[in-house]
Amino acid sequence: MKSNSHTLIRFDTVSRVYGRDATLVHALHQVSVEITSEEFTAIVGPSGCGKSTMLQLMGLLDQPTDGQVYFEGCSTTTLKSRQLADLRLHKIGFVFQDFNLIPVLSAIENIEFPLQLQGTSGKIRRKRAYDLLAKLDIEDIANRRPSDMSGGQQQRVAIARALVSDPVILIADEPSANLDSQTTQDLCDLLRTVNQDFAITIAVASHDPLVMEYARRRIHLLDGRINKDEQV
Amino acid sequence: MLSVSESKSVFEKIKLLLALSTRNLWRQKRRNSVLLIAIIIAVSGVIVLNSLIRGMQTQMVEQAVSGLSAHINIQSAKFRDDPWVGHGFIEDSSKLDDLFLKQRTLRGWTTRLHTPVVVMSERETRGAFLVGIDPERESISFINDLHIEGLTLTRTLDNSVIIGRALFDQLRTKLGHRIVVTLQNVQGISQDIGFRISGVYDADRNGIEKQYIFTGKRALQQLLDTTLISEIAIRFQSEKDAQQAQNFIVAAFPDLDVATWQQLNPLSAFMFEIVDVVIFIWLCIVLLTLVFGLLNSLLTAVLERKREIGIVRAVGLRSSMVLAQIMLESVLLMVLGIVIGLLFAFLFLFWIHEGIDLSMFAAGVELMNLSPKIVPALQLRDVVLVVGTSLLLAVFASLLPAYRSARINPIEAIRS
Repeated sequence: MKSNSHTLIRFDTVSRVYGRDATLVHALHQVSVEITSEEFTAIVGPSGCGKSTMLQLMGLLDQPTDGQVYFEGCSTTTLKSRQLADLRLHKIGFVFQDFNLIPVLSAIENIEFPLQLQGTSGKIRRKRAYDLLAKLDIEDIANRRPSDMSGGQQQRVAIARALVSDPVILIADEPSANLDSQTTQDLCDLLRTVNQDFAITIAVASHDPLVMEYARRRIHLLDGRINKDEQV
Repeated sequence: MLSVSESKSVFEKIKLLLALSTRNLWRQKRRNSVLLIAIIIAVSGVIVLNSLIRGMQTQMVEQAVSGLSAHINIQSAKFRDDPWVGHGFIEDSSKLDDLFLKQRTLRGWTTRLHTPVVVMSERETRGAFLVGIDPERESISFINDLHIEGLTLTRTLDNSVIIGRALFDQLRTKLGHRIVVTLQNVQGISQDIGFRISGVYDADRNGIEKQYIFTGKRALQQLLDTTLISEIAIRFQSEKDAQQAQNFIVAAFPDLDVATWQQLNPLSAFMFEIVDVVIFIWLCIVLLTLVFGLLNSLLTAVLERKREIGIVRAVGLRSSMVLAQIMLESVLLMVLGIVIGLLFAFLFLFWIHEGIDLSMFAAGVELMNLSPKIVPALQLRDVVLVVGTSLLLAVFASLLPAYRSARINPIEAIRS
């Protein structure tokens, strides 16, 4: 069911509850919000306000307890695990706080990983991965394993892996948490480039004021509810 | 049917799973090396021991059918109860020739005259069996292969004897000397007959050397003034051929007692039958022990890699592929262990292909109707059984870890 061609993700009174009885936690409570294509959105707020939960629901890693999440106009609530996995593989790129590269694969193999899952042939895969390495200026670490890379290099590889399958949205959860200020600045420049040059929607959860500065929209969460939604 | 692009896609995914599995195995070098060594020892141990057991089995059958009973042995029912020459039967050579000419699977047949005797030398007296044989027909039995010091029997009319080394030593006599045997003739009267020792034979088993004295069948018949024989021994090309011909032979000799080697050697027959069960039980014990090691290692690996599994699931790897990856790791490790294990087993079997000398356990091996030298017999069905069972158990051992890994929640795993 198509709702709006410019709306990429829509939350319709979405709630997410963890635990039960005495341990019940309302991570998100009746949240309604739309993420439009090509936006650079920062989800901000104190720890435990529901930022990661919101990103996980956007990234189709989780399902709401109540309400509906629409992805490109289609409800995702009824999709099966393998359909969600396929959507993540083809449409969504993830960048995690701890980089989360696959330790047994080299940088180039990590980048190729989503394409290989898609069944892209070796030649095309390698070319696209090298093109991205060149664009992100990390060609020299192509054959290094994650354990031989710096934090900044790992994060760039993680971004390259997220971009390689031409996703419609890049979801980043605290991408600068383990980076120094200079590397964070570089990362933010990179995210802006990705958003502007690649025309990829970006949703990032962060505490970092620098990351917030780069976003053109800020959604402030407090206790699982949207406190403020501002365009910058 | 898959299209070309779909086939390529599946191929790429298999390549990816293989790469991830092999590298994950390589990553835990120490743990997987220990497990690999255990698999190698188990596989090579099972193959070597199975080959030795099969060798013993083959040897037991060979010893039994190359003995005096052959595959099928025909005697009169009375002779089986009381082996007196008077309980023999008339040999109808033309009937036997006609009968056996049609049997294409026949390796040979012979007739013999048996009698228990008391044998005396110039110094000692012992009990034994005197067997009158037709040397030209004894290619079906161990008699043909005996190593003989002195002269062997060549004709059915030879009236000298060949005697086993053990009995020869007990009698404290010499080659060329005479011995006297006392027996009951066909009239039931004790009769003493003197024979010259023309040869001394060495057999695999001490029991044979002590038990049997051989002479020419016709010569013995003449000495006893009879045309009776005690038995017909028939040897086939194989055990299967013997089983197929058994009913035909029973029908051809309705008045006589037709017995198989299994009936005449029940211990050997029992050992022969039980070998397959022993091999299977032994295989299960060894490989089940291995399965617990493999299961434990895979469960630990899944626990250690929970976060990674979460990442690949988040990126888009389906849970079925996670399942396949863990199973593949288990199978790859097992395949490597099987290949190296088989290689070691083949090398070891090549090294001992002439046999293992068990003469220090001579009494035990003789009891089982074996020669002191066990020659391994590698059978394809045993290799297939070991390889097949090992691979099945590898898949079985990976089921729980694979199921657990496929159920990992990506969010919880990434947070962990």
